[in-house]
Amino acid sequence: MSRNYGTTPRSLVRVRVDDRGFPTQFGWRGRRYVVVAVLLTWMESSAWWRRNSTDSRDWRVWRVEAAADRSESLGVYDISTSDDRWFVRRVMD
Amino acid sequence: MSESFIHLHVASALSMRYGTTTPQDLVARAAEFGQPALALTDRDTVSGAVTFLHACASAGISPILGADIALATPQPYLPTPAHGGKWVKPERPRVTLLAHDKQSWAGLCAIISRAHQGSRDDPEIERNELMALAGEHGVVALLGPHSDVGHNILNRRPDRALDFFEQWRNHDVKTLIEIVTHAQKPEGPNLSDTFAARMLQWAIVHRTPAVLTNAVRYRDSNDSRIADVLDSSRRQIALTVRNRQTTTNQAFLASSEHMMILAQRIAGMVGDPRNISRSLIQQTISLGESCVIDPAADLGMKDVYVPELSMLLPDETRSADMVLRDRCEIGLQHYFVDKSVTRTDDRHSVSDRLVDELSVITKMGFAGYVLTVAEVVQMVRNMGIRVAARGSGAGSFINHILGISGVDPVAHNLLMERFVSTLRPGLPDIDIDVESDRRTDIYDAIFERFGKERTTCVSMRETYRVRHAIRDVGAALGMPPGEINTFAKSFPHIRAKYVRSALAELPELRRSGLGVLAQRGDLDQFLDLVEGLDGLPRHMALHPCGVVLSDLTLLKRTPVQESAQDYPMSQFDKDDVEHMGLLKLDVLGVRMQSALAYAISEVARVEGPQAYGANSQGLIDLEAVPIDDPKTFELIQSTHTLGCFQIESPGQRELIGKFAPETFGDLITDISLFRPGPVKSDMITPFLRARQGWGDTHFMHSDLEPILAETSGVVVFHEQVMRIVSTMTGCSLEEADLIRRRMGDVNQLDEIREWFYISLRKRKYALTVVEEVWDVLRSFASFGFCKAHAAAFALPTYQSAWFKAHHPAAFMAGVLTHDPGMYPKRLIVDDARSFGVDIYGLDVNSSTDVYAVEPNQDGKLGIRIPLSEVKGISSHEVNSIMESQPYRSLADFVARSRASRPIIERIVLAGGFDGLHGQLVSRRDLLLHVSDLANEFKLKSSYRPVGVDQISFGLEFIDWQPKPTGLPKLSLADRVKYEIEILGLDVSAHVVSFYQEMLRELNAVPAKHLLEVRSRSKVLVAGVKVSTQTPPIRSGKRVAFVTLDDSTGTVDATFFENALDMHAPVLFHSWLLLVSGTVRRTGPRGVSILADGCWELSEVYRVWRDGGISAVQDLIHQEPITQADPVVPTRIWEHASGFRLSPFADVRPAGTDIARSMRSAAKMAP
Repeated sequence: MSRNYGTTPRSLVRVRVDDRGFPTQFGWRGRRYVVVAVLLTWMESSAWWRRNSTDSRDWRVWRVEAAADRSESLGVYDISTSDDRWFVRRVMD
Repeated sequence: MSESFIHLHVASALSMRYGTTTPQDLVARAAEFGQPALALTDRDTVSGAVTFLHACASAGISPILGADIALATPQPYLPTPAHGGKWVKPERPRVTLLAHDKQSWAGLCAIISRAHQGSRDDPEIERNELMALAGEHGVVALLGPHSDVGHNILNRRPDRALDFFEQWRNHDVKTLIEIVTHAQKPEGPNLSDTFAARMLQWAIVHRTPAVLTNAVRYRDSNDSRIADVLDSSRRQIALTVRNRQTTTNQAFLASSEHMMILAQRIAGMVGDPRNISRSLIQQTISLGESCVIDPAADLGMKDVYVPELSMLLPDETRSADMVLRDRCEIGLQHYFVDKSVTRTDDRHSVSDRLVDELSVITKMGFAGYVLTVAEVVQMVRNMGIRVAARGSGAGSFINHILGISGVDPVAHNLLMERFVSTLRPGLPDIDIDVESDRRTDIYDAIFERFGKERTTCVSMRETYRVRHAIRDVGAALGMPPGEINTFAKSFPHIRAKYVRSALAELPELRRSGLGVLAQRGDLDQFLDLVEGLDGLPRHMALHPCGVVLSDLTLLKRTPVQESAQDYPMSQFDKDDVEHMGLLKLDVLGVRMQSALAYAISEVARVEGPQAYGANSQGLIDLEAVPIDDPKTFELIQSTHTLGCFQIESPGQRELIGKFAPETFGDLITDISLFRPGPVKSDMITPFLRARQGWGDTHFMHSDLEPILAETSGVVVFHEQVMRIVSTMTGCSLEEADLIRRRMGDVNQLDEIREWFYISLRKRKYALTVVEEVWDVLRSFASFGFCKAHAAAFALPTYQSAWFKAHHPAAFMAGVLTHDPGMYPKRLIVDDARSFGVDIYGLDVNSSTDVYAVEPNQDGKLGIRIPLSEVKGISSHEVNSIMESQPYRSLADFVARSRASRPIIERIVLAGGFDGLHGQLVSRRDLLLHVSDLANEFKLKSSYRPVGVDQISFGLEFIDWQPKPTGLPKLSLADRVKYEIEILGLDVSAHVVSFYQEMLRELNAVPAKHLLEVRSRSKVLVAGVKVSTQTPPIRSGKRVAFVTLDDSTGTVDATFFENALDMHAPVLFHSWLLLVSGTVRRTGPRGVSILADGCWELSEVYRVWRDGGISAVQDLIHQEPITQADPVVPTRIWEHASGFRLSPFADVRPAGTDIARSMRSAAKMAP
């Protein structure tokens, strides 16, 4: 099961990264998540050539395994970044 | 993490329609990152290698060379349907190859040449062949994600991957696995981290060394959009989410740190990140270090490779130096006899010069080179083709006595040092001019004589200019083709990076819809991309004249590929081949040489031995014509030099009007003066003043008098600069030439100035003299003209003027047939008439495929318009019409000529049957007759080759006559209209003659009366536009020179920027013009109009017809409507020497060219 979130203010998160730029922690919906492992990373770029394309940003996506504060269960999260703004894009249980 | 990285898979812009960055920029970036070495592995080519090696040398980086090669697959890669109904060829598997020594470089060359054989568009090589060649020559192969092995790993067939891999190993190819990730989506295409990890895993399992690359195709991630556009252009499909080839912007030349992180990321997915990533990086670096190329040892770049002497002289046992010395000795004796050099002193100075030249040639090892060129020139002569040397080679006495150059360097003070010097490395340049229509014959002969293994043509890179860039960007963005076309065509032929300034500054664009859109910023993304494509190579073309002659090592040193003309061409361009030590001979096709050859043959055919200047076979030996013929100089001074080589342009005619050349030496000076250099440093005015005795001849110092006497004290030639420097500083002429060359570089000026001042002061020259001489030399920069060049040009100039003076009919026929000049044919026809040569109209029985000279009953010579000028006629049709000549009637023609109906109708309308039927019936009657005959003979609308639907007829039709139907004859105006439409020429009357009445009322001045008009008076002139030029001028503003022809002669009008601003659209896009302006005297015989306005003549005519003369006056005096334009500062390029240049100078103005617009303009005639 997975749920998709767009890049709306509701999915905006604050992220802490290490010196290589890998995410280590993020805060989302009032909870703090600790990254246990970075599973994958990739880039996504928009269809920049489209007329009226409003979003021509390039995204880097991180698929991480993370655990929420005071919780035992691990989840897989896709969090993505562009221009120093981070969003939770997808949550897999 | 201080370890450095070496990129082993890097594509530059030379990977056409793939890479975006020049080799230089890539090298600079690698140097910035402190990387010790860099590879260049372009797709299917090494044409960037020489540039790359130079860039590496100056950046202190070790070069590695290779190529990225496509594999042919057993199943051909058929196009597959893509979104939107297009078919797209999938990309074929590719491998990266690296050379590391001389042998593997030869192997790489062989592989690339083989890949290009048989496919110009999609070079590819059979895997077995590639493996064999690579194994045999020790070429290293990297098998990456796009290779056959990679494809099988991706498709989860590790067993088959192993099969393929072992095949490579079995061929003794050093093979490594290439790991690449561009961080693409894991589930998507194959340049993802996951796939990279799977390949690395495979390599580890199979104990195979692996290297990490970034499959680089641009310098910065920002360039990825340009790469998207290039992908789209290469694959001919618009960008869509589905078709887009690379979905990330990660193929940049990454820093070492970036590559370490990649290595760790991938290694982490395989197992132990530390050790695996370290060994991956280590293997990459050590492979890179082992593949570093030494340009001298591996590519042989320090040596010279000319054909073996045994190729030229199979039985020769002596050295090339000895052979050359011998030949020169014989040549010298001939020279003494031919020039009747008898005085011992003269003989001594000439033989001393020869000894000097020979010692330089021997020292540089160029004897074989000179002998080879002499051999080729002799070969061309033996084929009966006119040939003339051009360029600095004319400065060498050896070239003269060996018959390579026709100009005597001793008589004209030309210097060998300008041509070859011990201080300058590299092969000297000898260019030969030959008849343009025999050029390919010469190529064939050279290939046959020296063999394909020693001979190749040279390539050149066509780069994106604004129109192509707009087309490709438009197509990538999915714009409608019609829109793209209009957009592209509205630009002049300028560089793509000037697209914005052109939109802002060129009046004809600023006012257009596009200009408005651009000002609003609506085109920003589009224009960014257009600018981004600027200068990228987009096509390899055959260099129009370069042929390389080498020894048997040629194909081991350069790959060759087939050109569109089927000649093999080196992947190196003209500069690269020189650096590779290859002898490049420029064989230039010159139409004037063809025109002269044709004129000679026409004189022989029509007049035979009694012709002026002809020998007993009726042939004229132009090389033997004396160079002081009074009638020739009379013609030149008259400025009626249309059609003559080099001196026919309006500017040149103005100059010779003022200059009045009297000797061959004057012609050399004239040609040298009419160059951007002298125009820029304003040498012309002081020269003409001194020449005409208006100013004092001033030599600056008595030492300079012998040097500058020939040009009245003004510095005109490179040779004079060299002599001045050498005389005053005491250095050798060779050193002086180096100084002259260095003066072209502003950064070195100060240094040279100091040296010059010190040397001259040491030799006791007064400071004022030093200052004056320095100023003159500096303003000359390196822009003057090489006298040897000018002398070589002056020869055909003189020869063409001689021909025009003595045989105007044959000469003009040659000019019309081979079209060598800048003017439309109709002007040449007019000019011929003014020389007393009649022009005979089209005639089915007399016209042929060329402008033939034809005597009338009195023996007076005229020129016959050829059938080949009929619009739309094919060469087959012309030939089949000629085969069945003569015809007895139109019916006979229809039955036997096999011409198509539209062509027959055009011939009728252009008067081709007037000779047969014109007495009795009109062209209209003949047209009706054609339609009757068309039914009778089942006439087709296209040409019928022999053997197709051949119908046999009786002979009764031959004398069928058309019947007069009482239709009125065509009016003169109609006749001219049809002639222009069909032949592109007004034969019966001049087009402007139809406006005579109006022009008289307007008091427009005919061209021939302009000389009588007082200077500075306001006039109107009218005529057909025969040429438009926008050359560079001193002030840097844009200016247009327009020449009008009104049947009485030509008028030159100049439009400066403010006049251009208002009138550019009319000026550039109309054919018949009315121009207003002020008369300007330019010399005793020179006059031109300083224009302030122009109008389309037929438009003026309409106004006159409707409203009479007053309406026309209103039109002319009305202020043009000026919009409140934002004032855009005009960008002007300023050169080191102070020369300013409009970026749009010297570009062909927008609009169709004159010859073409003429035909469409026929419809506008009243």
